[in-house]
Amino acid sequence: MLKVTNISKNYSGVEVLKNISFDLQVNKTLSILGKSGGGKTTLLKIIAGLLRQDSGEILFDNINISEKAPELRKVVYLYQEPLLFPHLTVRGNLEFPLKLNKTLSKDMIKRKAEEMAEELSIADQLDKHPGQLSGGQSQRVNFGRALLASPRLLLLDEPFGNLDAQTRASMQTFYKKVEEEHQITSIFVTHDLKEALIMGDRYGFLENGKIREYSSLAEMQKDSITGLQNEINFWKELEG
Amino acid sequence: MKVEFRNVSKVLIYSVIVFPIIWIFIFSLFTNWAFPSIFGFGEFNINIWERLLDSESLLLSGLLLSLIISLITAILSVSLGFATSEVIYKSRYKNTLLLSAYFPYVLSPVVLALLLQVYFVKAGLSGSLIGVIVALFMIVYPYSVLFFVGYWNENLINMKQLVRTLGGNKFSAWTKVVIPVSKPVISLCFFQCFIIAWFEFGLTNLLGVGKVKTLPVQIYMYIQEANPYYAAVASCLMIAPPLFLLFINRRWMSESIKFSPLR
Repeated sequence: MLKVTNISKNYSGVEVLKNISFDLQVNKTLSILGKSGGGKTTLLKIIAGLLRQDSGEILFDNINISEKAPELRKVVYLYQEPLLFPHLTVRGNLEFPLKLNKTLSKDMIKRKAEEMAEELSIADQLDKHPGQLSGGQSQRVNFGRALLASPRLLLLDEPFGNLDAQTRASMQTFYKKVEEEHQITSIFVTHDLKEALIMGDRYGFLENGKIREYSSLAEMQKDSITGLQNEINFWKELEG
Repeated sequence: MKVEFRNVSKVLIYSVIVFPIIWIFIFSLFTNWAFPSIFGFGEFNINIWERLLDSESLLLSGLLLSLIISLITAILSVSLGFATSEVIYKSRYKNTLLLSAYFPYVLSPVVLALLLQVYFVKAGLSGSLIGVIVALFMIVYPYSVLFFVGYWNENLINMKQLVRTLGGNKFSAWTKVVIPVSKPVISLCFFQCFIIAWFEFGLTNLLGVGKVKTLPVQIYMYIQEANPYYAAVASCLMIAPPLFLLFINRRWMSESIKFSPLR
């Protein structure tokens, strides 16, 4: 279980995160909704170990990982851009995290990458370079590469933000399926209300450096600040 | 008509670039030019080229010295410049730091050499190979920093961080991603740093106090001695490595940029 306790962060005197605390059960997804510049990325980067918090701690299965280097946390951070390594093929990208693990044999690495490509329906793209892939295909490779790193926690920072509406919808469905099959624990950050609802099992709303947690949709609906009730009213009016 | 004009202009441009090189090469094959012959080259003589292979040849030692100095300067400047430029790119004092990198160029390398001369003499670096390398580094390194600062971008920084979360350490982030991804830019910068160090004369001459006889120093020496044939051979040697690097760079870069989405 992930437990984040009293995380605070200042940037040049501006308090970006104020005593953020929440916990997340294994195999669950926490959707964090919030406006741009609200501190969502900062929070994810602190959990990944890419930024240092001013105060507070992060516990994973009761072990404090706050001071650990990013490579030792087993937390993969996925950016809005797929960030596939341009000098490698799709195969090279998938094999990348496996090759960092020196204990695996060449055959094992090859087999695992091919199995993942098969599962993500990109087996026919293995010898292509990232520049030759569509947005959706790139994101699939991105997910595959992240999963092959065997993370305990996956942090997704608006990963579908750059996709068109149709591809975005299909990627959301695709990710939910992969998440279920691989039993992934993840934090999904977005500014899109609908996406937050689709992707999460639990929900959070981050504003002015503070997080509000909701364990159900009904709870989220009650809080006017989330805008969920307004959204529902809008669609009802449109229907009626 | 348009195509013809383009072809003619191409021929003209190539002639302007290639003609002096061919002319100098032809000139290097002759000796004993006598006034007032303008187009006559004198007698055909490849003695200077033959003497080049002589173990005591000043030209050969000058060529090797220039190669060593330029390669060391370029390698040091590119590797340190690449790492420094990332720090500067991310720094809140980016503009101030960049301004200081322009210092040697605003001042001009020769003036910089004059300012540094006293310190080089005191440090025992004046007239030594290491002294010349240090001096060249002081102008090539800022160039490398200025070159790379414009290259760093958020995608590259994020890629570096991504490697860390995928399980790689700082070293593998550099060696497995940042450097391979940046190969075309690094090689281009290496080429330019090499060229700056290779053709540097004023600074080398001042701080080398005539003891470090690189090729440019020798060319000036031959011209001062009114020895145009030796100067022509030295010039041919001077042009050869940059032309070779340009050829490799052009072919290699067009290949490696093809698949790079960072372009």
